[in-house]
Amino acid sequence: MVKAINISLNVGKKNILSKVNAHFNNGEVTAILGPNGAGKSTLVKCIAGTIKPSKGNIEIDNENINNIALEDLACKRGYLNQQFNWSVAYTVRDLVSIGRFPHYDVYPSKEDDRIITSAMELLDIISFSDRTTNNLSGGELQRVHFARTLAQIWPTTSKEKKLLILDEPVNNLDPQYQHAILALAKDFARNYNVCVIVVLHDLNLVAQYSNNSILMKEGEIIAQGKTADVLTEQLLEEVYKVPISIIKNESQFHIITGVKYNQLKKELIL
Amino acid sequence: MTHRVKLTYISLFVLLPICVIIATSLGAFKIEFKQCVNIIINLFGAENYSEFTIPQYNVLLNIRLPRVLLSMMIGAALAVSGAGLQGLFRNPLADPGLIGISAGAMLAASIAIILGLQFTNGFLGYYSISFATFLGAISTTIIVFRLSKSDKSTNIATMLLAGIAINALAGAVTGFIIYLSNDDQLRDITFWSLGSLGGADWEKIIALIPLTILPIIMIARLSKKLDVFALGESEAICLGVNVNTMKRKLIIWVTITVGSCVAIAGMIGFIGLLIPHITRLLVGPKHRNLIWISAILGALVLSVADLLCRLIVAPAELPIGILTAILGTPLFLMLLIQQKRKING
Repeated sequence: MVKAINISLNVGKKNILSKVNAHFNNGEVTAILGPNGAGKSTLVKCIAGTIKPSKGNIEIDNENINNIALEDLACKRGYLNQQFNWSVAYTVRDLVSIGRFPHYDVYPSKEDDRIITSAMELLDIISFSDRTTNNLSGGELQRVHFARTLAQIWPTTSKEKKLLILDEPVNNLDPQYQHAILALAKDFARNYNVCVIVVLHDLNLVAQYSNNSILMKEGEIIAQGKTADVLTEQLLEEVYKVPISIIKNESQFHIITGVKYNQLKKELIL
Repeated sequence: MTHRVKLTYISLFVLLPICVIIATSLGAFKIEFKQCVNIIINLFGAENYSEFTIPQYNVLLNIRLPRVLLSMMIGAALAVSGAGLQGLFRNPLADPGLIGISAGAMLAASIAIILGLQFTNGFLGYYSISFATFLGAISTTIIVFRLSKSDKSTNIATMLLAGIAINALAGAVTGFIIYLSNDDQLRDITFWSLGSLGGADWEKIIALIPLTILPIIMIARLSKKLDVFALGESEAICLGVNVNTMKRKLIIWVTITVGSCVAIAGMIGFIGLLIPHITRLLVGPKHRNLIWISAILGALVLSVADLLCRLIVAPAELPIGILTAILGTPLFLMLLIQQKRKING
């Protein structure tokens, strides 16, 4: 379990995060959502340990993140960044194997190789494993990096508590892979007890794949809890400042942004 | 290891001793190839004095062999430093000049020359210019490194800019010193800035062994970390790399080795930039192979370049910096065009 305790971060006079308290459970997918500049990426970077908050603590399994050695942290926490360095010309397989770096010294073990191959199979990138990453499309590269992150936190025994942090993992992807990747993340959470934290923009994907949600605005948490409780018309309209309709019953959960359902119905004569 | 990488290692290891023999047997003073081999065999105990003369023996062992070995050590050290810095800056155009090493060395050497240090027989005597150069190289790098530090971390972009600024400043001061110098000093400064491997002896070799071999090994030990670092700073942190320690180690080893190479041989351009570039085309961007193959290739190329310097205008010598630039520039442009073609399909 990951806890953010009273996290604040200021750059100059601007508060990027102010007094954020949140917790994230193993075995569940927690989505972080909110408009641009709400501090979502900053929050996950603090949790990943790549930036240090000005105030407050991050605890991973009841241990302060500052007390965990970088190498140990690397074996249990994977983080997929929003942006990638395009210029490196590693082959796809080499790039995925970088995910196993924290687990071996000089040469990867057979187990590492097996994990690398499995991660590539899951992401459907094995067919171009020898291509270099500087001439892949954006979506292909995104899948390669996702495979690298999965390889890093690949569960080997059921007791380990791994943490997977994804910052907008489906940005460049077509619907097929958007669903494939989020389904994989959910699968890792449910079947391997991984704690998954994912920053998402698409409200329907949030509704479909997350157990819990955190709604942020201007560096503060507006609401958190079960996704079904956080995604309400009133809260979302307040945060995003556009009309929003939610159609929810036993069989469906749809969110329409930019227009009220009644008006849409009238215009399209549904 | 792929087939291609293995092949590269094998062919370079075969070329290396061949290169030593050819480079020692050719030169203004005539030593036949066969005599050269005989002298070397003689070293290992077989007595066959009849085949060569004592002057030949002396030229080969006390002048040429140290010179070839010196060129190889310096070539390897410069190439590895270039590979390391290109990894650190995540930019294939980085070279040791970028962090102020060369500019500081140049400034210190000019000051030493204009103060007439090489004529005095003070504390360091003959080595005073080398010593001043080494100090100059190290202190500018320390300044650049300090300037780029904020809190506990080192900002690579700031480091690049600080390097450019310090380079400009050191260049201006060097210019002022040149303005103050007389004709002889000006000539000395100019020749120093073009580099030379002349004056190699066993003493220098022994002094340089720990200052090149150890840094090369230490830089090579950072390969895995540099591989991760290529993906970006936050990726490297997430994969367990202490990026600040890595940056500091790399800068320290590069400065030590390049500083001592510049101190002994003056400024030799293009090796640090070009060799890692060529190596990357041969064996790809992973640093373990990149660094080791750069080392061997750097050794080969600089010893061949030095051989040409000795041969082209024999019995005089061309400054090596001229040759590396003349040969390096077209090669570099060729690589650029080739790469552009590759990208454009």
